[in-house]
Amino acid sequence: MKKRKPIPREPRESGAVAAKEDDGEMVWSERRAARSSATGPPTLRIAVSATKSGRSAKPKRGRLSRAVLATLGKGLEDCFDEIRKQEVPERFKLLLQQF
Amino acid sequence: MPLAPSLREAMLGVVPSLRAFAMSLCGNVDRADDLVQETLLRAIANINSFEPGTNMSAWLFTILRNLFRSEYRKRRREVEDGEGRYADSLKSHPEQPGRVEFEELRAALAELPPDQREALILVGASGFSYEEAAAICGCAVGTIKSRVNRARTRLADQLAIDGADDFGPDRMTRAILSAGGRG
Repeated sequence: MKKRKPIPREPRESGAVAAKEDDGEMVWSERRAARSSATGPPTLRIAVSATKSGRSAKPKRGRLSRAVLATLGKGLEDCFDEIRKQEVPERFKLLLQQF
Repeated sequence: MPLAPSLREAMLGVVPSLRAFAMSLCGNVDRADDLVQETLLRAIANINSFEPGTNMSAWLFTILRNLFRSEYRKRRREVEDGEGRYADSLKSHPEQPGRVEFEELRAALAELPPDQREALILVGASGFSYEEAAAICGCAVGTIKSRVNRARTRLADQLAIDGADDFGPDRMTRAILSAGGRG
């Protein structure tokens, strides 16, 4: 069974895997971030951090003001009043009179 | 079995609102009136299921909506067509300057998703409560509230409404008067 030997870190990208030949044996080493294992995979954490820090600002969802709500409501009512104020067509009066 | 006079009067009283709601669904006066007629016939046929003293308007709106969904959707004549026929059907020649804004509102309404438009019309134009609108649409109250809120927000954005003076038939008049344009 080949024995793994710790190899000094080399400046590589995070998460990079390096292979070196040591006495004829290929020794693999992984660059590890200087943090505890509880913090999780560094690559993922960095990605998450980058996402959090570089998150595009979502448009602020604010409530519509009372004035705007009132304006909309009045506009809607006025629109529908045009039909509501019309006289009931004769067909409906006759229909209901049949029963 | 003859219809009780009180019920007949109550139904007749709801017809104008029913027509307006049907118009918002069908986008066509003739189809809307056919839908209302069908609604009344269905209601009369099932009058025994109506509990006197309860909300006749909500009951009729529910019947109309269900009829529309089940029958008219099958014929694929729903309003959400990409050619804008619904929006065109709502347009009329502006006779007064303020009327343009009504047309803008109608056009903006036509562009809303059907569920949002329906919810907004029930709550905002027909005067139903959120609970009543939810019962008519067969969904949760929270769903109705969400649809209404989204519809309002969308309309406000589309019509660029920021305050009370940003929309309405008297905006031009007020603008003229405030600028001292009186003759």
